[in-house]
Amino acid sequence: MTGDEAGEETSTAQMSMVAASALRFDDFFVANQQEMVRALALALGDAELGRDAASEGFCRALERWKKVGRYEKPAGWVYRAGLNWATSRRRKKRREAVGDVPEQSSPAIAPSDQELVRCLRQLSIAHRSVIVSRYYLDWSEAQTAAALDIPQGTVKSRLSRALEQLATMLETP
Amino acid sequence: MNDDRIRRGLAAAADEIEPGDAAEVRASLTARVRRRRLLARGGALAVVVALVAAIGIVAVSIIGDDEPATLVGVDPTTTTAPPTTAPPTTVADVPVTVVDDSSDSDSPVVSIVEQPATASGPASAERGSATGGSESQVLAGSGSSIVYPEIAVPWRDGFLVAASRAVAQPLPNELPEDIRELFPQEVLDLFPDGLPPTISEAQQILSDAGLLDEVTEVLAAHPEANEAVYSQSAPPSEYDARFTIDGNDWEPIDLVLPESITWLAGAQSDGERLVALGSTTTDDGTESYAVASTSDLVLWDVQPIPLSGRADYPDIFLQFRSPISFAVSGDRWVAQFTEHVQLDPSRLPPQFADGYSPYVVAEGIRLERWIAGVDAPETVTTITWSELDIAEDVGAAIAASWQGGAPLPTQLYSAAIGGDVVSSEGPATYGSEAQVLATPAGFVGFFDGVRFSADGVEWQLQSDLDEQSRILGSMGMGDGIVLFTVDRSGAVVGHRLDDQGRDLGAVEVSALPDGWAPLTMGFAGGGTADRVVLVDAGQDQEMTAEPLQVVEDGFTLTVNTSSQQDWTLIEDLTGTVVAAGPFAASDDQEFMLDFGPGIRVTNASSGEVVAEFSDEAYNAALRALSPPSYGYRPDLWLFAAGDDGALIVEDLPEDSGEFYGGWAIVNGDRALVGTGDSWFIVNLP
Repeated sequence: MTGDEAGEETSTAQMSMVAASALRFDDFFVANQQEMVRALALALGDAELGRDAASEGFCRALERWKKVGRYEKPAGWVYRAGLNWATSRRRKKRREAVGDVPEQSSPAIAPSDQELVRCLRQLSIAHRSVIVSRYYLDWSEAQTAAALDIPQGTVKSRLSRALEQLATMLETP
Repeated sequence: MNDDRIRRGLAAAADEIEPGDAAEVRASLTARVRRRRLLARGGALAVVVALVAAIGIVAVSIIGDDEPATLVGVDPTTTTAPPTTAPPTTVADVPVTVVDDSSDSDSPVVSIVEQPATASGPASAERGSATGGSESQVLAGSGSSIVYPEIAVPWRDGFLVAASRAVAQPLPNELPEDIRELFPQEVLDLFPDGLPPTISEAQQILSDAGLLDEVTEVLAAHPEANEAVYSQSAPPSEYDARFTIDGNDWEPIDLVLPESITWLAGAQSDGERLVALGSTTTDDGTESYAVASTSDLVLWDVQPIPLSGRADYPDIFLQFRSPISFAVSGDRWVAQFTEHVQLDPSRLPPQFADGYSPYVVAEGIRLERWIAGVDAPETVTTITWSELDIAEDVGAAIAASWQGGAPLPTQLYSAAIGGDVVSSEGPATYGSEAQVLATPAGFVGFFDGVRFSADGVEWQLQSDLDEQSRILGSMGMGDGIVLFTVDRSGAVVGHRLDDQGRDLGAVEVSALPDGWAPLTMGFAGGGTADRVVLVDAGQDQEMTAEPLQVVEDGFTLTVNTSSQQDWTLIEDLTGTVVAAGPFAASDDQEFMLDFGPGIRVTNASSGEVVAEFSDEAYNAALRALSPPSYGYRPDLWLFAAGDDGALIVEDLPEDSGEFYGGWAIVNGDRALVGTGDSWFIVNLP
């Protein structure tokens, strides 16, 4: 290899590295946006809130992309950030509510498996978020634990309890 | 419970959710980030003005545009009581509740010093300091503290807490002519006087003009344009660093990274010397790490770590190494890194560049092309490992890593500060929790059992550890360690180890509510075993879903799914309860509910339909429901090591605001405890 060829090869490698690095958030966003909106909508039981939560999660990830982009599973970080933001917003809205004015929410997700969705809706967000992580996002228990920042034992117990509740509700005629 | 049904049900429900236009959302993100930064700056000023106007605060100063304001810690949103600079007051000596077998019932208790003390007002205001806010890591000006620290260490006679803040990447003054020609004229027209100083400013201008997507496409299609735009190296992170002695008054302190380090992944300090693991960018543009030490936070000695990988991956995968442990014992340090890969979609063959979603599967990379409204992907193809010129075993490792079904390999690096770095293979791990802790004698590693190393290179097996156990946290006790693990049943178990990891027996903790666990921050945190650990025994609040009410044809069906778990059918005209029953099925129930489609109430014995509600009515009732009420209520405790091996357990007050995690840093006989919305000092025995 001539000196020039070697130089050219190095230059190409550098260029690719810069390109990959510079585009990484966009790549991540494009690859994960739809799935994250849907996962958060399912976990929160509210499509509009899911969209807002995903947007918030991605926004925070973008702010910290230098760090979040290096995580093993940045989508897990976005999922948690979105969940935290949404539950926080709900609490805030409840605090701000005057008297018994009911909380406004967007239309519920139209149920396909109506019975299952109805039962899922009865679970707490903590349980739903684990169910969605495992069965919709197909994350392992370890990945779910890392994403939700809870011990793996807690993932197991929440999953077990959620499935038990679902089974009980679905058995109910 | 049928797993497939859940998967199918979730997938079907997910398909009905419209995720929104990705390009529109993406374009809005940059603008939102920029707006927040502007608001954060303006917010600091606004808070100061509000405080001055409302309560006549006395100690306020603003230090330049990028400098956070410094003021007496108080939550301006929750109190009208004047803050005080009076000495901290000990207000809570909650009784010691648990000690281990060797404890003395007269063991000194931990005292909590609230900051600042006020005569009246809500508890959240009394404890002051940082206020909860989910928008930013650093609440500049709203409490003079840091909400989500990346560094929290003892320093001099107090504590150093710091968080990084983003620094905009600069743009070159102008682009070469051959690069300019790649962009549409309307883009060039936006910058008649040259490019703005930073990429984020340019993005904002492009976004406002609706041209950001076009520019992104040009950059994606022309690597040389991308290289030119991003040719100015990203500046190193700036740190918002604060120093406090009492947890109340926080002073800005200069923390200036060495030029070669872009951000810090973890840091340890003995109070006089800060030793940090920092990320660096090498000459060829790849990321690496270095250990940097300083005694004044400005002048550093930097020691590069020669990172090496286990396998060579093809270019289509980006290889990352993430630090999970960083521990410093005396003059030696140990750093542990996991290895993982990410698919780089920009390296896919050109025919799959647009519209394809790539997934790593056992056979290779699966590419799916979906059409909106269609249940199955229109096009599916798989590029096999052999087609990618990737060995089957490497492909299998990539697939396992991608799917999360296999632990990640790790590599250990160790050296004396300033000495030669030695690399050794570490144990594979699923998690990102620290596996190496420093003790006065050296390092204890939680690998395939508990191992000890005096130098971080040679590791001796000292005691067994259930392979199913996961380490949750640790604390120092005397010269040794208390290690907290969770076993396969989900229970947390405490183990007392000496300073070389030898098992000294279990630590019983019985007085805490079920479900307690130490709070750890992970990601190269937890490298030292401090003599305190923050514990959370919080519980999910009971769900308080409102009842479902379906109304149709003169009947109202009310289904309580919260606590009563029952249902009632009322005839609207007379108000008579026509039928009722428990939600759970039972053999002796008189009436039954039959869901889907719609709801039918039937007589269990005769099968007679008592009332029937259509699917439309049922869906209308579902839509009218507010989301179930749910919340997480933290229950914070502090474990502290007593003089004689006693484990002192202290119930801490919780704020009602946001809860981000916990920090507990020890300096001498005082601990600075942070819970995300407040900081306070705990005097240790």
